[in-house]
Amino acid sequence: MSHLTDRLERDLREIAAGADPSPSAWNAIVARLGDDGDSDDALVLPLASDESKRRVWIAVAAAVLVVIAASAVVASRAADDRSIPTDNPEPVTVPALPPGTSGGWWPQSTSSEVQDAQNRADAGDPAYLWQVDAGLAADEPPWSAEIFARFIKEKLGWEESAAGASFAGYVSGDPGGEYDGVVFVRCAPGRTNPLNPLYVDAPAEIRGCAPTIDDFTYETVSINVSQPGRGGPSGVWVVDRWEILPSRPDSLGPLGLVLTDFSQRQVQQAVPPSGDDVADVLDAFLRARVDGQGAEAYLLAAPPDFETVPLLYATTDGAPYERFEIERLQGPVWPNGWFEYEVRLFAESGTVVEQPFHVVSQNGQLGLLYGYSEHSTTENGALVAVPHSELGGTVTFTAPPLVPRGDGVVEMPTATGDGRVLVMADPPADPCGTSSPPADAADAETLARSIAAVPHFEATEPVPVLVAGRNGLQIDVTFGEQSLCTTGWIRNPPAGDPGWRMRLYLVDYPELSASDSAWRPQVLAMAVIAPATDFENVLEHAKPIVESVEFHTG
Amino acid sequence: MATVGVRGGPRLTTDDRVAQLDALYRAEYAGMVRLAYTLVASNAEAEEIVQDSLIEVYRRWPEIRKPGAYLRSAVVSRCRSALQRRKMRPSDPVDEPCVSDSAGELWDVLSRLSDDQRLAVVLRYYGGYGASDIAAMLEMPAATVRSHLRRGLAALKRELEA
Repeated sequence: MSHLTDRLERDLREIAAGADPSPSAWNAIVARLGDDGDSDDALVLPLASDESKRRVWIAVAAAVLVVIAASAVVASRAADDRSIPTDNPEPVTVPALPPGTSGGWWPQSTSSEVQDAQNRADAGDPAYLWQVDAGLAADEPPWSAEIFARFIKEKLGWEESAAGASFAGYVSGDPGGEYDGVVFVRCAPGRTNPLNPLYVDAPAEIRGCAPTIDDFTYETVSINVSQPGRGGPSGVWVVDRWEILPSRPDSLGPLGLVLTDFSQRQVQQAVPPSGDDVADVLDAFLRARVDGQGAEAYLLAAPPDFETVPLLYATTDGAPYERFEIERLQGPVWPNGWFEYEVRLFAESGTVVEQPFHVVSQNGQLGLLYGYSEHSTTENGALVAVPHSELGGTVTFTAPPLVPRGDGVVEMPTATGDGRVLVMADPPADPCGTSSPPADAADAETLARSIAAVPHFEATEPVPVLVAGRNGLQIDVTFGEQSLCTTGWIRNPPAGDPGWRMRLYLVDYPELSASDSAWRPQVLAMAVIAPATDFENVLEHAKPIVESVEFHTG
Repeated sequence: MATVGVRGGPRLTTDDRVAQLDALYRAEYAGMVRLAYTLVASNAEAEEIVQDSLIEVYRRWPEIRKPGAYLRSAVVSRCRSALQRRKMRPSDPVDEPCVSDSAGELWDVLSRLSDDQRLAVVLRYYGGYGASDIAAMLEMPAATVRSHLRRGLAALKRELEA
């Protein structure tokens, strides 16, 4: 952890301590349980017919990786020089609602009108019956719902439109009652997407939809619908908010470009770089790695907290690379035109290093981006440990990439995926974080005693252990079935799942230099937490991490 | 006494179910209210969210394998919806916490993050959840959660350490 994450944890605990849970809340809950009725029927209603539940769909951005700033990038060729291979390159000018235009309820505008519409729909009036949509009530993807189609045609006046998960990904929260931020784009009638030849893998709805603002930019609307009256399959739906989304900034900062959030901005497509250009950049990058110098020039500048490329010029044993191969995983991916590749570097020793890279374009320059993929670098199939400097640089260790990188937490590759290692300074003595405010322990021995005293923890007696060359303590804890930690650093052995275990290493911090006067950590804690069934395996994975810990006091 | 049918399992009486909910309430309520409070900045709304979520757990008890985990997801989901709704009704009251200058500054900066970044940061650094846990709660890929965390942390660093 860094100073920032230390501060986050400390200040968030302080903020949370300001909450004031009502001591009589249980009475209110019980009263509401009574409102449910006490018949068998009331209690065994299938979920789909529970009209009191809400259905919340929240739009989120389709996770699209795009280029970040790269002033030092050596680009091969300017991707934006590519022409648009189309027979209808003329930009389309059509009447449009200006960006930022928004509105409220439709087709009814008041609660009483909605109630009237509900009554008429209940009576079978076809003029209102269409507002009842069992599909929406049943969690189906919203884009084909009639309320959207009618709103787009009747309210916005768009002749054609498109939507889909490719740019309007959304997730569901609780089922019931609302869809927020459903995004549609306007399509120019009678035209196809002029970038079709460059995006042969784009979804059909995109290939059939030409932008209306210019060849790249779509009029985009975000729509919320809900059932303000009755919920469930018989309730009427209305649009309760809509907005013509604003244009994307011409120049996005490095962090703003990591994800393109199409629920907030116009959908805009880019001319992707050619496969040849991408291959040229990759080839040059990998040849430089084999040559042992110059590869850094092909990497885009990443934010400071991002992971650096491990094993750039040699394997962990120091063996240089002698050849490479590349495999395209995907791309160009609409609408930003990035590619994802897996590269393999072979050393004479037979060791194979595999790494994922994105090849992206910004301002006509191509570069490589590392650290955005789901997976990380492997060596002969095993995750590669990389050096980490944490806790304000006072502690270093080697471990697989951190999640999130840089915060001191390692998610371990275990059979269950639940094992984890935490590296912390001065964790609260209450690992469940429920005391208000939690008290910090002044030394390792005090902290060990406090943790061992937590109810429902079965803890061993502390035993001496060497951590980073210093005398520390080790205790093993088994979490009882009632150990329902939902907050705090213990990180939630899931409620109701007995049999989790933790090994905790505690060691007093060495004296830091006077230059770091603002922060005086007392105890370094490393916790290995895993289900009992996988605990030994996780411990084995964690062992090199624990053994690699070093203090840096200067 | 009413009896509740349990799909594929034994039958629970309503008293059994209320007793189990009571145990869950005792274990989780205060912690969940604190978590919700850090997200929605309103004690009243946080309590309402957690109570609604407990009611939902009760209703769905026969189908829930892990009530505690389900409760957490329900609370987070409702907090997320509350944040979304607040954008449309910015006049809704929020609490002004009585905290140190440092925590107050963090509170202000957190409120300026996007909803997903704020959720990810609070769940990670107050809730203590990992990316995969947060991904399950927010129903988004873990990689997306990591991106929100990276962006959120970078924004916080920029604002707090400027």
